[in-house]
Amino acid sequence: MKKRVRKILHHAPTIFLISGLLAAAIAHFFGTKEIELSAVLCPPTSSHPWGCDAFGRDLFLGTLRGAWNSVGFALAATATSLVLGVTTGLVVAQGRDGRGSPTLESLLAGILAFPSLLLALAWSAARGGGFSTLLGALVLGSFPGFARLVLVRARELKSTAYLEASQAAGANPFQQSLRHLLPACLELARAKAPALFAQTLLAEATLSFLGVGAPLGTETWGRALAQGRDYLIEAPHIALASGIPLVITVLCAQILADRWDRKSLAASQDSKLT
Amino acid sequence: MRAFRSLLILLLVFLGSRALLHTLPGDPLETLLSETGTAVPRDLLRAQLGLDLPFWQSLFRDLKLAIQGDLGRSLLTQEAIAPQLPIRIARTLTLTVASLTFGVAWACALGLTAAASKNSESRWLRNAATLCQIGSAFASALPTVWLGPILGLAFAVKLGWFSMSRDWVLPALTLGVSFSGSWSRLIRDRVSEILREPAAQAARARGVGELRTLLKYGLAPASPAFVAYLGSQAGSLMAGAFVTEVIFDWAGMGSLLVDAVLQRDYPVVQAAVFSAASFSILGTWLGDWLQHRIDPRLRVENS
Repeated sequence: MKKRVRKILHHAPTIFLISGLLAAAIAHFFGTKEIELSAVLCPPTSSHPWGCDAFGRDLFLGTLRGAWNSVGFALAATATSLVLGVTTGLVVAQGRDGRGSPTLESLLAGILAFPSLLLALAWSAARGGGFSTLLGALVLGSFPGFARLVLVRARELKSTAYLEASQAAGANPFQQSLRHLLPACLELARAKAPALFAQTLLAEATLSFLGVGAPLGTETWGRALAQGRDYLIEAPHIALASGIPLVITVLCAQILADRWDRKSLAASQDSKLT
Repeated sequence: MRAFRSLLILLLVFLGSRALLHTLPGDPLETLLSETGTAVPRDLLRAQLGLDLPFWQSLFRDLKLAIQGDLGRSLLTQEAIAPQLPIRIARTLTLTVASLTFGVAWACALGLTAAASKNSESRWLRNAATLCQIGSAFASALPTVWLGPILGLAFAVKLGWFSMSRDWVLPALTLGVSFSGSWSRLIRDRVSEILREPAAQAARARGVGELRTLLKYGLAPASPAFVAYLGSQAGSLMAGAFVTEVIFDWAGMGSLLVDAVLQRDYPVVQAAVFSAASFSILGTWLGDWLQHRIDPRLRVENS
């Protein structure tokens, strides 16, 4: 019995994320956006279990639609950062005919020294609001850190015997990256993806809260949080309804991140021993 | 050498912040006029923003003015920006220092408890360690933009202990909790790693108390690296303070910057981004310097 409970608990984060995403998809494609003016800011009742928002829309459905948008943004930004991070990291490590490029490296360090929120704010000041701006700001905030991880991993691998052997066999840096470094970096990307996802999800909430993120009219968790703050006294349920799902999602992603990170660390140590 | 590099980065940041205006689509001046609807005459605005000169010349002019302490004027209010900055920076620093004090204390409490009792024989202590881990996981999952309003609701609206916008307690608490999330974890990992080293085990073997071992042979050897890392995180700590300021209407650098971004007041954005970046560089430098001052191991290597 205890074992079974433990097993369910072990899979709880995955189950929550998948079922939440399914519910969000259903709400996004089939849910109504009906506006009831009589129900503006109404607290939870039997017909609206989570209450209503400032426009008189059902908050439960609104939160699910927000989940669809927020998670979509975060997933898109995570995927872009991973691709960009692996590419940048490999280029920095293998540039200049495999010797590595110090100029690009210090440029990367320079971007990293700059707080990502500040970058995002400056970026949206220059570009104005909108989907592409938000995506750009999220990617700009998360890819340099991952690129550095890739760089460190690539450096580590380059000192191993099999890479020296491949060099001696006449592989050029490009072939070497593609054949030997890329698989290891993809493994790293897989292990770091949940952490990056959690980070971008929080960043989206922050930027949209500040009003420089998702465009007006798009329902995301960040926008709902901003509304929750505006109506904090009259309708505290708005702040709770969008905040609690966000916290649980981030928590689940972090638990997965920890687990996958440990697994990949153990795997890399195994490969070092053999 | 380090100072020279910091200066170089500062110059680059200055260049970057000035280039911001030139990345606007179309003719920057026209875009600005239509976006802000400012009442400033067109020719005056062009001269103020340096759009009448080629980019490099306007950059040098701005740099010269900036060294003399003139950071331009706000587009909307036409007030000089530089005199407003010291008050704003002081308010942000107050908030940052207060939350840092709270955050470091809380992170140390969580992290050290977890590190010390993770492999303890007593079941209670092991449970306490798990509890601390759960606490730090929650702290790093709580977004400031949610925690802030909720704390405000609980302590300002319902209980009425603090005022929402005048007291520094609630913003400092919000920022401190989000800071403690990742830090308690860092402290736990690093300190428990160091406690496995021979020095700590030898101390235990010769009868040094558990608490003393934890502080002297666990925390103390790790602290210089923590200080250096804290310095390098000064920028993101400040960025966190910016968000908290907006939540609690705290008139610091963050409110200034976010308002300016939303109103497209580019000279203010430039000045705020530049000063925030300077602080983050200064923080990194200060952290490094302190690390070299307090860590005797580094002192020997250098001389």
